[in-house]
Amino acid sequence: MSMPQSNIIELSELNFAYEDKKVLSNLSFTVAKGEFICLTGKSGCGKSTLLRLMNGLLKHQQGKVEILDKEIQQWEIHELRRKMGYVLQDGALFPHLTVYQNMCYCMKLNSFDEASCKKRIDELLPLVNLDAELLSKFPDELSGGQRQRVGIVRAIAHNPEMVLMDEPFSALDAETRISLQSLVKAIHKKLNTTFIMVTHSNDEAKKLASRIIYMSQGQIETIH
Amino acid sequence: MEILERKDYFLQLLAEHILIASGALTITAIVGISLGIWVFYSSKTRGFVLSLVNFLYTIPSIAMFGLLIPLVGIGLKNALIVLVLYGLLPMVRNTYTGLSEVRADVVEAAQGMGATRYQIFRDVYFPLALPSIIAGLRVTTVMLVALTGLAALIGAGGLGQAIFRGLNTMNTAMIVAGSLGISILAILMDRWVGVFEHRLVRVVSKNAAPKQRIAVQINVAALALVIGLAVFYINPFQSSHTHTVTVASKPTSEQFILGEIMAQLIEKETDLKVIRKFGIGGGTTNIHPALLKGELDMYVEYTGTGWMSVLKEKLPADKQVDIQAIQALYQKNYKLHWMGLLGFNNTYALAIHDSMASKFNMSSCSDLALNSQFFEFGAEFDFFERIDGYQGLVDTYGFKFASIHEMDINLRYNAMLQGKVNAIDAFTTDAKIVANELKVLKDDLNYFPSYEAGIVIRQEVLDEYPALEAVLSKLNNKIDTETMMQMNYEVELANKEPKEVAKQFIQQL
Repeated sequence: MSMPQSNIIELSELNFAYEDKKVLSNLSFTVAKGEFICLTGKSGCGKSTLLRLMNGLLKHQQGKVEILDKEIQQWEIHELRRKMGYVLQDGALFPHLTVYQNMCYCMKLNSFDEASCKKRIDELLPLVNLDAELLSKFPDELSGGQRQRVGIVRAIAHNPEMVLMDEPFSALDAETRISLQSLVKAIHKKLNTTFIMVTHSNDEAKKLASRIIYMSQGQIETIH
Repeated sequence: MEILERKDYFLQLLAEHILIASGALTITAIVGISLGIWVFYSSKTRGFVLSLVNFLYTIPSIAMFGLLIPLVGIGLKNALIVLVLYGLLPMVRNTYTGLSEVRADVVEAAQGMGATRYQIFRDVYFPLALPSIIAGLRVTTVMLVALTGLAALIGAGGLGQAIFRGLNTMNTAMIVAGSLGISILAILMDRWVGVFEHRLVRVVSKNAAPKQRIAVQINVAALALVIGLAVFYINPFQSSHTHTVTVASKPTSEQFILGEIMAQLIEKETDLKVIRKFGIGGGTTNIHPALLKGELDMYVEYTGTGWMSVLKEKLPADKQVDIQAIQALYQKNYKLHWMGLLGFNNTYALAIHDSMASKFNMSSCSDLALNSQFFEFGAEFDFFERIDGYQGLVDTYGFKFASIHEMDINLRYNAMLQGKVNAIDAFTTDAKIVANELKVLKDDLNYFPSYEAGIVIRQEVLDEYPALEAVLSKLNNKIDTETMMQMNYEVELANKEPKEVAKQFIQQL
């Protein structure tokens, strides 16, 4: 029996500064399994920093970051990150790898064999509306929307506990953005994993999030 | 075509060139890429390492060969070290630049997905930096193939040997053939590396099209084949098993001929194999230490040079070096044996054009001193440095030349012909004295020492192969000044091969 209230992320009294520039001060909140959190706010409010404290790309100076019931310092950081999916702006695909190799990258890090990779990618292709023909192409042969779909497959293929996304759709045109928003929403529903997305767009946050965290000057302003 | 007749000689040089260049390239690539990776990750050492490889690159390559001689001697080891040090800059720089230009978001993606530091390097940094690394490798390749041409200066062989032999013996065809060989080799090797440029990253990333993979495989196989052939041709392992002696020569026609005479005589009369290390740049300065190290076994030296430059002894008043005295000191100090004298004296002399001599009615150096303000004097670099050279000459005769010009030893006669200078230093066995209608001025104040030629050989070699004593002694007093000058003439002006001239001489011996 799953406990809907079980928190997979707990942040308490978090402080972070780049040299002497304070970015986050005394920030606390929790994320429960299965939520779709949108972190939003003006640029420089600390939302991207907050995301990177959750996967250890940045290290907090004070406070506590607890992920999957363990303080982040106690995790072998690669092990922790392999339980997450990570989506960056414009996909950040590996330009020298084919679409298929990109999609499998996290699965390979998690030691899935070739057959399971292939099976899983075949499963996911219809979900993101990509043609199997694209699998042998390279990222620079794809459109922006296609690249981001590949990025999403790469982030979810290994069944992660949570998916972190940093402004994934900000480089896309309006039409593509809307179709990808719907797609992500559908994926969240289908996979029932936790999504944490940084976005500067209120509309996007409203459309996708089960809970929106508005940030301002390194602190949480409101939670909806 | 004389070049075609020397097919074996050129094939030998080509094989040496390929082996030296590809050996140096392999080491440079490994060391350069490693250093590039190291400075990329270690920001503390970056500034130092990059300035160091930059500095090494600015040292003129000829100087670098020379600087290393006291440390590692002449030959292959020296050549490889210089080539590697020189080739590092483009390798280190391109590796470092290639790595630092990898897109930050792609690296972050790999990090965020849980790749370890090593996996990020293997999967992201390295393949994405590969095109830049290979571009550096192309630059290095062309540079090293060309620079290997200079390795001949220190007796390491390669196609440069043909160029220097051509320069030293006034043989333009040799210069052209050597240079062309190097250029073509450089172009081919550049093409060879170029094949990897876009394909290797695909092979490394395991997503190469079959065509790309095959191209890379064929390329690697082709190199392996060429290197295999070169090794087979030279058979460097053979020399360590059979009995060999190494004959050296300085970079002059005369020395090439004398070297050949020694070599052919040994080959004819003994079962020993002879390795020829001819035309070693710097002459005595580099050959003598190499003899002491056992890298070379014998060469022809001149008594004046041995007495003053090597032993650093003062000359007696008559400027004659006593052969027994020099034999004793060489034996005592160096365990080197002077075999006796060949029979000619190749000393310095001053030469002016015949017409000038008659116009000013000059026959001796003292005569020249009276008119020296009308003369522009040219000599090789060495002459201005040596103790029996320019300074003492001026002190003795009181010359006040209108100007002095330092130049390469092989260019003095050309400078004279072209009117750049009108007085030069000459060697008394120079073929070009007669051919160019020059007048040798008598050294009436007896300034120049005697430079009688004799074979210097390592005592250890003589002990090991006692037969050499009798064989080489056959040359004692067999080559007088006229004979030597005639042989020099045949090589420098009649364009005969030193090998051929030596053969003729031995037949008449």
